[in-house]
Amino acid sequence: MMATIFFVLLGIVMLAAVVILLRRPAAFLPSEARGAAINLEDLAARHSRYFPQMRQALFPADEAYLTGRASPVVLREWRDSRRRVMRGFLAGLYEDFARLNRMARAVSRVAPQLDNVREAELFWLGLRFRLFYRIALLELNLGHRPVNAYLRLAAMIGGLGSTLERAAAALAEESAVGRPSTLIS
Amino acid sequence: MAEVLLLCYHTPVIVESTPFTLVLGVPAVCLELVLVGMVLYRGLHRRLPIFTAYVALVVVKEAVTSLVLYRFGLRSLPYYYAYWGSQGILVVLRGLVVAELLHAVLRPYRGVWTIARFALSVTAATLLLYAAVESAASAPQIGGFVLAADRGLEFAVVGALLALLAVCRYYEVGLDPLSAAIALGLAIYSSFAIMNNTVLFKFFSAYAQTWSIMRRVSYDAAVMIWLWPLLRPVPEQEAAPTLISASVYQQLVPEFSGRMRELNDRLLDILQR
Repeated sequence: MMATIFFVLLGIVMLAAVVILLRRPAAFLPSEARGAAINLEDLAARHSRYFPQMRQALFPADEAYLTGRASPVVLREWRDSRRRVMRGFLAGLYEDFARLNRMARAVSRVAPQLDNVREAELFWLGLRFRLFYRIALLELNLGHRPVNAYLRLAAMIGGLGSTLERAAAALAEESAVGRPSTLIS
Repeated sequence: MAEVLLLCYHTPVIVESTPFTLVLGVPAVCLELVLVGMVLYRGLHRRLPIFTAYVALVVVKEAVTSLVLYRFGLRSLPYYYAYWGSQGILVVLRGLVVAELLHAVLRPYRGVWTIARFALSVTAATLLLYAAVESAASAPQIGGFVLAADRGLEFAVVGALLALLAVCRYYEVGLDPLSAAIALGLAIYSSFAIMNNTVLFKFFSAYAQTWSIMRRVSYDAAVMIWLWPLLRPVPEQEAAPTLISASVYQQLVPEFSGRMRELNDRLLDILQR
């Protein structure tokens, strides 16, 4: 009986997976509407550019200053609001990472030949980052880790902008030499 | 008519024709004929010849099995071979339709096409091996062997379809409405066949009539899904995208992967501290 239930459930899951995969995600509707083109403005690292302001707002000296001066209630509220801000920023950074990942896949899509090892690595890295991000977010929500630790991650993602700019420049150069690339619009 | 199905010629599981199955069968065959007509009218035979052959062969199979049934009878060996032989050919054709779909959708993206072909081959080979092992394990019972082989092959069809859709989703290659409809129709039919055969394994004679009806209904559902986009003229295939040069790919992708690797390591560092 267990085998029967297993195979029936497997059939349902496989059909559901096909239906889900056939539903076009909203994320790539705009580019698909113009063929394979991708708007580079959509790909720019929007959130990481606010990294300096975030660093200022989350500076550890603030906590040292408030400890002992503010009441425990005020201090708790201040910490909560800091975490809230950090959560929002982390979500933004994740968006930036997703853009980088998407750009990599867009380049692969219009490449005449793919390097299987590199493609597998990109896939694995994207998967791993998503998993780590979920764990980091969970820990932040549970208050297990100080906010400052995430600033290092923010600094890393802050460098994304330059990577995307270099990619854009290389692709623009490609279209300038007579290959009207459909990758950029 | 089509609904008079013999599961296995020397087992007692025989699906007799009833007024209900006949009522279901006659319009179903008409619908299949309409589909073949629409496929030819819309010129799909030039774009998707294997799919065209598949839908046409389903109609031919209905006619041939009905003739053999009329000539030799329900419990005859020729009918058994005609029915399951045609099922075998059709399931192989369904697999080839998936490969044809993959080729039609991804051919313009040369790099992705190479990877997708590899993914499809690995998935199909694994699931075909599973089908062989499972049917060999059920070999002592001829009915069980046929059902297990049929279920295994349907698994291979849905698995290959999933591999195709996963590659399309990952590289953000959109399927046109017709290709999406063909994929959905195949998935519905094959998934129902998996579930249907599984239940038949367990309950055998008690489920035989329902098994036959379910098989028919799932194929009719697929036919209606395939007919829907054919009601309007099929749009011309989009122009192939202009590909970048291999050197741009070689230059950019290591940079992307390097940056992503760095981000992963940093995040892992934080989590391990």
